[in-house]
Amino acid sequence: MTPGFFDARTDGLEGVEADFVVVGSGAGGGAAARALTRGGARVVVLEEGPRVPTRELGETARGSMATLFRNQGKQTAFGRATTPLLQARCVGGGTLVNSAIVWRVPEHVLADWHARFGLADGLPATALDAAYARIEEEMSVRAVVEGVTAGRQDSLMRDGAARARLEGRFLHRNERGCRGSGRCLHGCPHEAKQSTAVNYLPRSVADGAAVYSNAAVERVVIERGRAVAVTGRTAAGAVGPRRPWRVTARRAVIVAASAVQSPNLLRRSGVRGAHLGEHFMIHPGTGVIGIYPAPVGAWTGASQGFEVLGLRDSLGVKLESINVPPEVTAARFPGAGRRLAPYLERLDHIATWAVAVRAEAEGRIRPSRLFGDHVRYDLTARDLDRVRRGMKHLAEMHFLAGATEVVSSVYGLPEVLRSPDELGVFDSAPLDARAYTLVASHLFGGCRAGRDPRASVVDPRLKVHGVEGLHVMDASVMPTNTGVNPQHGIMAVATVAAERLL
Amino acid sequence: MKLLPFEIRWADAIGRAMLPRGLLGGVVDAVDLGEEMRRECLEPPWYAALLLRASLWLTWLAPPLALGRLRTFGGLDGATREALLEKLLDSRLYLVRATATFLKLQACMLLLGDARVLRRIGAYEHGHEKPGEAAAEASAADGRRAP
Repeated sequence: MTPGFFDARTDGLEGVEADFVVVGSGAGGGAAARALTRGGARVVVLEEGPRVPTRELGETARGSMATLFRNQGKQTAFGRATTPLLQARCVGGGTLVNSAIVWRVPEHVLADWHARFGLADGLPATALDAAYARIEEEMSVRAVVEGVTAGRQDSLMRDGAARARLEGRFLHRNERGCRGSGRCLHGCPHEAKQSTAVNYLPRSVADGAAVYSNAAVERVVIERGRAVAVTGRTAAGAVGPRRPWRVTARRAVIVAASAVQSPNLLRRSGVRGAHLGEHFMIHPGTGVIGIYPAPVGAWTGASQGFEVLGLRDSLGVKLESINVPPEVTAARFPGAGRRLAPYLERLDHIATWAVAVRAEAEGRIRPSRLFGDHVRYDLTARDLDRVRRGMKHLAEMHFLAGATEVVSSVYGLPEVLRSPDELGVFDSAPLDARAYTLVASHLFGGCRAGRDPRASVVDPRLKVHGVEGLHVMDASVMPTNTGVNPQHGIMAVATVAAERLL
Repeated sequence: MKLLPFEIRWADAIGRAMLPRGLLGGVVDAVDLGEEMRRECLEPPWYAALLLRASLWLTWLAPPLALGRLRTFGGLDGATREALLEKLLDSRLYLVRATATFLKLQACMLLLGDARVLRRIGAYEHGHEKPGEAAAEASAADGRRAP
């Protein structure tokens, strides 16, 4: 096996062997590959999506979604309402297109995992802390700095939060040399964001790993109760027909294909269990737009720069600034034609802040001939109450920061609020997901970890119950959602689990 | 999924009613929205293309049910076209509302997701005349990055 980055369509995969085969190149796969290669193991990483050179990253949402996202960013969770479900599909996975926000799994969440799911032996706090520290050093974690990487909408959020007496801070992100180009969600044009594509995967390659793009894994081959290989086909594309291949794993297969794809890959591979594909959880989010008298320039500065923490433990919501691409934001303004146009003329006067909810609802993942992956998900009334209460806080903060108008984006409420006196309308917002414009971005569960094989898919060391040499190392093993941005937690969990395999 | 020629004309007419010409100083007037929607429908996933096509049909044939007028969308004047779109976007039926909202999102992404619009509102240009320069710099920096 030759180290390097390869394209399975042109370089071929037939006959490749490694100690460990890692399926997926995002936070989990990248961290697992880094830990294993650092320990001297021979590793091959297989990524379904393409490897997109930095110079080819798009500058529009449409271009980025077409290149970097699964189903061009149009994947959907079905339920009472349809909810867009954003997943990257490229070398680097979600780490290439997220806002690089770094959060350790909160102590109370980890304590819950230990107490209810028996994960204390597999994921002890001391081991995770050591992993976090190493990742933070290697991935260059630092706070957004006002006047450097923060945008004006971040400063406005800080002001609004302070006046609302809510605790907040500039976000901590993994970046090296961020210039505040505002394009985190399109893939960083300066390679300042430390995605696995620019950090952990090149480090792994330097230590002997081979990373293949356009290599969609269809099945894990399990023989006599042991995972021995993976099979798949090269991705469809301009370079020749789709070709089948098989990659042999001498020691183990590590599945890190995400909370949606990992459970379905296990199911296609013959793994069964009552909890496989169950307990799928998300952090549903929605934005509240404030319109300000002076230009905000929301697309200058880090894509996300400020967060409000004061409601995280009490209400179960986290508030963040976010520069949703302007062409997407435009659709959130009221009306059509001549009523819509004046809002679009003021696009540079807006700030968008989002609420992300630690939802209690659980959904289900299944393979589907029609949809590829079928996700069923319905928020509970309590979740929706948190959504509307979070939105009310955001609207209040906008007014306190100087906004003259706030776009509610809730069906049944006034489209635009023009005074803080109107904030009470959020209290009567419907507890019906169909009234909101929600997006699912942080995904968890589907291969829940736990000590009891009757109630989980993988054991505390993240090995699939009943199958040797098959491990899952991504957000799908997390038995609950975390209430914070998941990348850092995924990387630490994968690091701890992978180091145990050496 | 391939849009038919008349569907492409529908797409252009509906999109221009949603986002009228002259918007943002007219920087996007030259965009061929029908052609952009045709290309969009050729891309996966199939269900998004189907939804886009369904949204065109729904809008084009909506006037009798939504306005009580025995016409198609093409037979309405500009103000009534906008009124119809507003009515669909505010429909009490979730399926109708969601379909119309999806069409609005697509029109915004195709028409406003344009480098000229981004420059006009000053997006993504921090320290650069053109966003493409950032990529060129990053590419030149390939040899300097980690590890």
